[in-house]
Amino acid sequence: MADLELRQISKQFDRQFAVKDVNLHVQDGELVVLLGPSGCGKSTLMRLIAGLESPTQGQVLIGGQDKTPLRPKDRNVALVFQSYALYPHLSIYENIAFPLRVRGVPSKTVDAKVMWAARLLDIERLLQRKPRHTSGGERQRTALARSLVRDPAVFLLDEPLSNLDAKMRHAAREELRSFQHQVKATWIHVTHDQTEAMGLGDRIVVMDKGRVRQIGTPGEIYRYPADTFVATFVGSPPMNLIAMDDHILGFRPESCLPTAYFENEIDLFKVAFRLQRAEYLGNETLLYAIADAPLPSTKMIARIPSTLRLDVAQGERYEFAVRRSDLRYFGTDELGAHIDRHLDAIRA
Amino acid sequence: MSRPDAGPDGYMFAVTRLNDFSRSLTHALLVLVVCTVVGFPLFWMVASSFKPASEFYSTVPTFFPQVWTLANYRLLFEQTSFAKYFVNSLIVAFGATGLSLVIGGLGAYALSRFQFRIVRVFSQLTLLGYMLPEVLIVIPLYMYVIELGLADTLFALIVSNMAFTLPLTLWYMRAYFNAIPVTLEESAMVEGCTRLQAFRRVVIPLALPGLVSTGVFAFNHAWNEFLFALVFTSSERNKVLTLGLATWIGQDAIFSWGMLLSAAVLVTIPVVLFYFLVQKQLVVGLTAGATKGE
Repeated sequence: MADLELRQISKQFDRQFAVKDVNLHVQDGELVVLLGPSGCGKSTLMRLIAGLESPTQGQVLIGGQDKTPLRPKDRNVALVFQSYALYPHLSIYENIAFPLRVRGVPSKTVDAKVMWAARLLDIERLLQRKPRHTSGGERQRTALARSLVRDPAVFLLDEPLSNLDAKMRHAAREELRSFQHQVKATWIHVTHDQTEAMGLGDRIVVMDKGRVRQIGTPGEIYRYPADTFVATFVGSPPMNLIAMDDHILGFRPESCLPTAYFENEIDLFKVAFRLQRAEYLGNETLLYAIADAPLPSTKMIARIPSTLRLDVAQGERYEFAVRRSDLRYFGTDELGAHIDRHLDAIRA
Repeated sequence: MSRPDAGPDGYMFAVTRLNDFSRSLTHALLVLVVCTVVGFPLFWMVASSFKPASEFYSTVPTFFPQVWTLANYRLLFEQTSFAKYFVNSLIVAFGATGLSLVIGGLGAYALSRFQFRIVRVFSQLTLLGYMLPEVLIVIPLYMYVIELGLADTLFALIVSNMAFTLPLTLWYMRAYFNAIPVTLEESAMVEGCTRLQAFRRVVIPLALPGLVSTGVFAFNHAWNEFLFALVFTSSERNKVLTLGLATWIGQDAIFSWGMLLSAAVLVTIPVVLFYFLVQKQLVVGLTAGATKGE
């Protein structure tokens, strides 16, 4: 295992930047999630690390060594594709053994390695089958086993869970995480699913239009989004954004609660809204509403836990509140970067 | 379960039965026609090759030989250069097939994987080349053959037959390679293969049915080819079967029906054998056309 460093990586396709000025340092044994909507450049970034694309600019360092000019086979990274890319003509056993066979490893060692990886991932009973006779989850494990047998410096996983159904996805996420702990791997995981990113990553890299918008722990990303893109992309439902005169005001749906809930707290920000629709989800209720004066009328969502008994009626006006410490401020320009109000106060 | 009204159901049942019957009848008739049209000449060829010369012209034709004899086959090898023709044909057919697979396979892979404009234009041009009939290209090819000093050589036949089947090989194999996901190769490359190794270890095994189909086509074409052989070769030493046998017919009279038919039987054998060997792959290749990645 080794650490991975990206320095000023850019990749241009036909004058269009797929990836622009990406800097990232992944520690040895860290699990970093690349998160972003489709077409944001996260898969391209992964292919750049694997060497399947070469960067227009910048360097890829693995274990402190510059690997930029090397071919994929000389980088010692493992890549698990979205489709798993199992070889249909080979048995599960031979699929796992493939990287070793290519290197001309003696059969005895191959056998030991394959059995070890198969046991770790609990697919021993599948070894003689062809990939088409296995389920999605089993294919994923096979792909993992195949990436594992040659002790790669870095694991790259490109949307490995997207081919699984919702129920299996959750279980597979757990498995991936414990697997990563077991092998203490340096691990880069690409996904467009923010729940997956939050649940899996030591750190998350949020990308959009080829650029990194924020790097941070799930907590940092969620609580202190760097800009309006991150604020709305991470979290479901997204952060409420309300355009004020010189800034954009943001707060999470769950921080917006009936004023009575806060009892005697004083540092509150009043949010008035007219309810449009209430969506009862069992554990919580989502209130779709339009912010009302003195706020500019903007669509917003409040999220009320079911433990708070509350009767609401469509069309009615309500006054909720948000703790001032839960408010976020963003610039009104295109980027919508986070503004630190404390600094403003100090400067003033 | 009770049926309140069996009438319409019973009627439908009868109709279905009738449909099934007429379908199998049609099927049987079609099979019969094909067997007769295709099978009978073959049967006649095989049966007659074992008849003595006297039996050929008997006024009441015999269905099966009354006296079984191998005399026709013996004379074939004793009196003619049949063996030489046969070897020549094998050389030309296998040579053309091999070349066509190597060049066509690698070329089609390039056409499939590299999306440059010039590549696209080239692949369109090859298709155009395929549309030209043999008679049209035989004269220009002949000029090349003369210029390159290949006149009256088997190599000229190998190359020209290959040139004729190459466009089809290119297009067919390109479609085949297109159906093989690029991620499989990329995966192989990340796992330690060079591009060529990935091609050999992953792409070729998956494209095997396609290679077999185009191989059969190329072999068949080269084995049956007549015009190129007629124009490019002249000496007895370099005659292939098609040309050799053709010289036995015509002129004043048929050289010998017995020998001709036994030769025909022997000419058919390699093709049939070849088909049997690759039959399984061939069926997969022609029907599937595209193996899915998973």
